[in-house]
Amino acid sequence: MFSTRTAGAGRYFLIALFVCGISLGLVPSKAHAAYIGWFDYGRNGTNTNGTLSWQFTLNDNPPVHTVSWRAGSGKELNDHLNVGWLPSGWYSVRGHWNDYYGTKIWGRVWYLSDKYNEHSVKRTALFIHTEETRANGQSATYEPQRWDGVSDYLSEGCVKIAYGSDLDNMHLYWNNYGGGTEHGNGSPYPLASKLYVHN
Amino acid sequence: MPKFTSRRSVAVAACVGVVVIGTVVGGAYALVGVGNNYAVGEQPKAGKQTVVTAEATGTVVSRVQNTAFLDPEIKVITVPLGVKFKVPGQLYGTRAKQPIQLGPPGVEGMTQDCFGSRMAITFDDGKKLLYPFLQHLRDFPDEAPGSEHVPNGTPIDTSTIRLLDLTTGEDSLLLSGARSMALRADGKFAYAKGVEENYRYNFPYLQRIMVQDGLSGSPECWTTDSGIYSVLQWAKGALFVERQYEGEATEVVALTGPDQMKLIVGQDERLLAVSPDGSQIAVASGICDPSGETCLRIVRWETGAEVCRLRMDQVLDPASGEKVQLGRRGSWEGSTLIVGLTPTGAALLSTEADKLELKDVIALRYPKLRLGTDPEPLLNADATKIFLVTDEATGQAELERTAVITYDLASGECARWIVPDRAAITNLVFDPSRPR
Repeated sequence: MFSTRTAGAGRYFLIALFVCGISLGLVPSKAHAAYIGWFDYGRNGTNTNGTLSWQFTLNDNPPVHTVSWRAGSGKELNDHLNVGWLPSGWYSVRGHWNDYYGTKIWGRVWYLSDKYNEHSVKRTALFIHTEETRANGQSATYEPQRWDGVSDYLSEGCVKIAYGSDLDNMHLYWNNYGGGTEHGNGSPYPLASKLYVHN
Repeated sequence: MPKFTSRRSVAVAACVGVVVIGTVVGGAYALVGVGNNYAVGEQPKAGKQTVVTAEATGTVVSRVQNTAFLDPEIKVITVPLGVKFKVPGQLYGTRAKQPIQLGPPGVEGMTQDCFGSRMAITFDDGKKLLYPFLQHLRDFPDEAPGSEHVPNGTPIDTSTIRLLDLTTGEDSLLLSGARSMALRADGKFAYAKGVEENYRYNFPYLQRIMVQDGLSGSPECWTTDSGIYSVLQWAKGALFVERQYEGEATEVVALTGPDQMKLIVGQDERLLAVSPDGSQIAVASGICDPSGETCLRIVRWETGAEVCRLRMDQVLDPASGEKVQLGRRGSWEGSTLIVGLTPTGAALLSTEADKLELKDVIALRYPKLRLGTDPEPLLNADATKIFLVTDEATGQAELERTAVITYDLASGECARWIVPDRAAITNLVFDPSRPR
């Protein structure tokens, strides 16, 4: 079983924000719409100041709507195993959890497909995630479960997004605009072509 | 212009007029820059830490001499880039006039471990070679819109370890569904055995560590729990193994028997090299002080006691004056330790008397070198030469090449052997296990 819980007070703030967005025409109405959405990650030549976007269309027609957040990946400006950013290309999302409970990663995560890097080495165990607890909170005592600032954008290869409104909003778009509401890694996962990574 | 801290400014002031002296050393081809101190001592915070007070010159290698032959002390395996894992590589550095084609004839695959282990080992006085061969079963999915859908769990490739007799040319399969290995001088052989034979798409390739006497001995499982492992090397009675977690976070553990495991390098650190007697390790650490500055630490791995350390924020690139980053690997012979640096270079250190002293900072800056790559330096057995792998940029993708650089520490002479034909993944063949 997987929780669909979001952070308590932040949830109401998000809903208000979202309603505002619709009334201002910033996001299209969801009613009777079939959205096709995907992540886009541009590295921008850095490990800590990339751009993670959610892009979506309505009924597979233009225009392509885009909402973006700052994100990071890797510790070095290459795609080497354990240290480099996410290799270029398309990825499927092979699972999504709101309460992932790993040894190094917790909470809201998107689990990505494996990919070869430029030197023919497989990159595996890659996620989009933040630093939070399994229950989507912040730990006072354990740094990997607490977002401390810019240095937390660094990773061994995963794409990392800031805890708080950035992740909350991204999750909201994933849920409502062409991502999915299902959790775990069973059907309908893997969802093909859900992340495009480029320079 | 480099930016100097106040401390560095003092050093610069003390060396006025001696910024870079172009010197051709020994009639060879190295341009040597002298003048700055490239490391300054840091007071230890605990009783056992040794103060580092190294004063080192920097060396800028601005010219190389091309050579038609690989240095006789090294062998390399090259795998051509851009062949989609279907073309096995070649072994250079044997007495044969032509490189030796590796892999079973007619079988598609790659002469490289697909999970990052670089291990290929010669033994029996260099007469035999153990090497990885990844047998290709089907193309790796690219996940692009409109591409063929490949279900999770589809077999993609099979990791194997092969044995090549360099005397007879006989090439045989040693293990299937196995990868990354270490061989100790007494014949103790270790490898990671897949729980399943094949890597299956998007399924973790779980393994257990197996140890046996000799290549044909009876295997004993040293990790009951399966995991994502890479065998690194033997260090006396212990086997160093890298363990990977989600997000590609890694740790290094020392195994001393079945399920006897000790964490020796945490995920904020990186193992660079092991001392010749196997008792000490050199690690790059990102947790040296509250500021998060990286440092190079020497640690007795059995107790975790730190022997000494060098703060890397005080090691400067002699070509630019800027800070450098520690690379992924180093090499340790006798009391000489070399560690890779980015941008492309290496730091030469002495470990005598349990002190870490920076002797030289070497920066490769010859024309058409692709800067930025970590050259992963390797010392020869008597610590007189360094071997480094570099990328050679030409401005045209089809003309780009890979090279093996041999740098003579005494003369400063620098020779370049360019991998024939095309750019290639180039792995040095060496055995880090101790004792050998």
